Amino acid sequence: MDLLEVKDLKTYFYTYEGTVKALEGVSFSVGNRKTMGLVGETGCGKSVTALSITRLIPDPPGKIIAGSVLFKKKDLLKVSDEEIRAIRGKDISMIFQEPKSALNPVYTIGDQIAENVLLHDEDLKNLSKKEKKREAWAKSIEALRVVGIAEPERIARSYPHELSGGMCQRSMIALAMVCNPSLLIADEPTTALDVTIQAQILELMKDLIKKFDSSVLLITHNLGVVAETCDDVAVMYAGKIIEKGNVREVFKEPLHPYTKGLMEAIPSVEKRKEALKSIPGSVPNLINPPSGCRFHPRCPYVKEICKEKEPELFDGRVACWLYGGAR
Amino acid sequence: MIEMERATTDTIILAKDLKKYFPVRGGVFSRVVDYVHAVDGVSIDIKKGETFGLVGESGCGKTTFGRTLMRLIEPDGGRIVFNGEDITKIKGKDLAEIRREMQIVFQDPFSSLNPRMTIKKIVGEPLLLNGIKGKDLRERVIDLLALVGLNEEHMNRYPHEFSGGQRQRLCIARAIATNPKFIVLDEPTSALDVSVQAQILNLLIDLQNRLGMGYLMISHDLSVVRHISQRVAVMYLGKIVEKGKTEEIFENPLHPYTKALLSAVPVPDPDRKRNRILLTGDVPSPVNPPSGCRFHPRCPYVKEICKEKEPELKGDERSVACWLY
Repeated sequence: MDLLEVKDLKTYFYTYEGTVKALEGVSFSVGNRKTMGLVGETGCGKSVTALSITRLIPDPPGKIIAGSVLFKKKDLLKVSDEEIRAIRGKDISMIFQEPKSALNPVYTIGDQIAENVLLHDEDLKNLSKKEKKREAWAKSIEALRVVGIAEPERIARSYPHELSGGMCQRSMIALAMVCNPSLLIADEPTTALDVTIQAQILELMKDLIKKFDSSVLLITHNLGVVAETCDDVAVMYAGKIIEKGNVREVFKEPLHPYTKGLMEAIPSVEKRKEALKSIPGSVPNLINPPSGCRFHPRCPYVKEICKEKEPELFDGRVACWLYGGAR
Repeated sequence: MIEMERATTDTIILAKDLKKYFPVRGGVFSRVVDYVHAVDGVSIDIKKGETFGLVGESGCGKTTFGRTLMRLIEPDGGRIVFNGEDITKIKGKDLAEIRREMQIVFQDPFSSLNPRMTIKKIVGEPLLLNGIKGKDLRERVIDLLALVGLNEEHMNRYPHEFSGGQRQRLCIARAIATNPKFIVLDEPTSALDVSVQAQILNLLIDLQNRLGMGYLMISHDLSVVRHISQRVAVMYLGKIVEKGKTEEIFENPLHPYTKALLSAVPVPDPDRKRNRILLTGDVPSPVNPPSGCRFHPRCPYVKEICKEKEPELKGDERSVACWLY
């Protein structure tokens, strides 16, 4: 049994223009001590997946209409609000894309980390109020030290605006890891950072995952980041997973035309490609997604069946009529 | 002076020791207390029909340099020579004349198009300013839209009806409307998804082959710069630390910063094991740049001299500013 099993998740948003079918039956799992990468372009539903898992979808307009999220054999979509609050921040914690806007600007870094400790740490239960506070503060300083911040005492007393983007992201990671979560959901953790800082943060995340035996769901649009940090990968397109598998498998031999297209569309730092292959057109509107396979209007190998019937994930690997069904 | 002569032959634009300092105001009377050294003595030359890449991290002064080069920001020092003519000080009509020949494409296609103007007006505005009217204008706009892969039926629509990639195509159409000789591309693809990014890069290369413009490609994405440019300069805190042919820089980087930058880029190949040079710390503030070489507090090979004296950019075609060489 894997740590997290997402099955047939459907999340819709009800707007004036119509129903946005952001997730249309997403299934994947994250194994113990494994890092799972979720890749795709803007608007494909990566972040909605993350928010659905922790039930953070704003309702209205959003609603999880079907599916299950099994975390340690418990369906997170069925537990009470209190229970999910106890799980968030403790068993499942999140890192967001914009560290500066994810942190509260009117509290110090130390206060924000200590808050998480006070809410969730079992060790503090029997202490007096004063002792609790002291203990929580000490823990937050320790957490800052673990993420490689040079003067944790000073940083703990700083406000987010006083820190650089990289420092804020380190603090976010400290905040996420302080309760030793079994699952870390990182939503584009390095997208807002420069490459040299990105390298630092990725290195740090890899270290911490090993140290705390956590599993990670890493959401990103950067295929390079996935290749360097993940064990498994799922590629999303228009609210569906269209390919998944072991990172090595998928990167060495991408099967789905969309995955292939993505790989060929990125320029390389290591050698100059003659001409970049691009995928024609753009991501479809999720209010009125194309019939059949959602990629068919952009697909170079489109067949009749693609327009009519939606392919399943054949062998749990790829959702494309080129590889299964009526071949 | 040698550069000046070279400038008349195949160089489209040349910057010599260009400087831009922004004042930092403070205190009760908003006096100038300090300066941000955004661009601190940058020299480059871009040939006709060439793409020159400028890379660096956020805050290193790439964008300020691009805008100063176009005189959208007034330089505080140095010279700009465009097509053999010194344009550092020109004003009024002369400047307007020159502006026709150089254009810019901005990073964010969502905020660089006026939401209240139709596509015809947006793309046609530079033409209108050049005295093209009526039927000619309409025809030219249709031609331009065709050049960037859009068509006539898009003419009466508004920007919000287009996707990011299409909007960037519109920005490009607007930029090439006056047949410029030189275009500054300020991170033209960083707001776009990879599949669309490839479309835009291909379009830019195609247009250059057809129309022969010079490009200054400003980007933080090293792989994009490698793909599109013939020569590259790496910028750090307002200065160029290394400059040369693209292949040479990427195959054999000399400056420790370039090396670290290249090794930091994640490569989409899970079997690739690389010696990553991890830089410690952040980019220092350009208000009080470090003494000597500006990179010395983060440099793994720092020596005594680096802290005291600033290295010059040495070499002609391939140049590097580092005491190691």
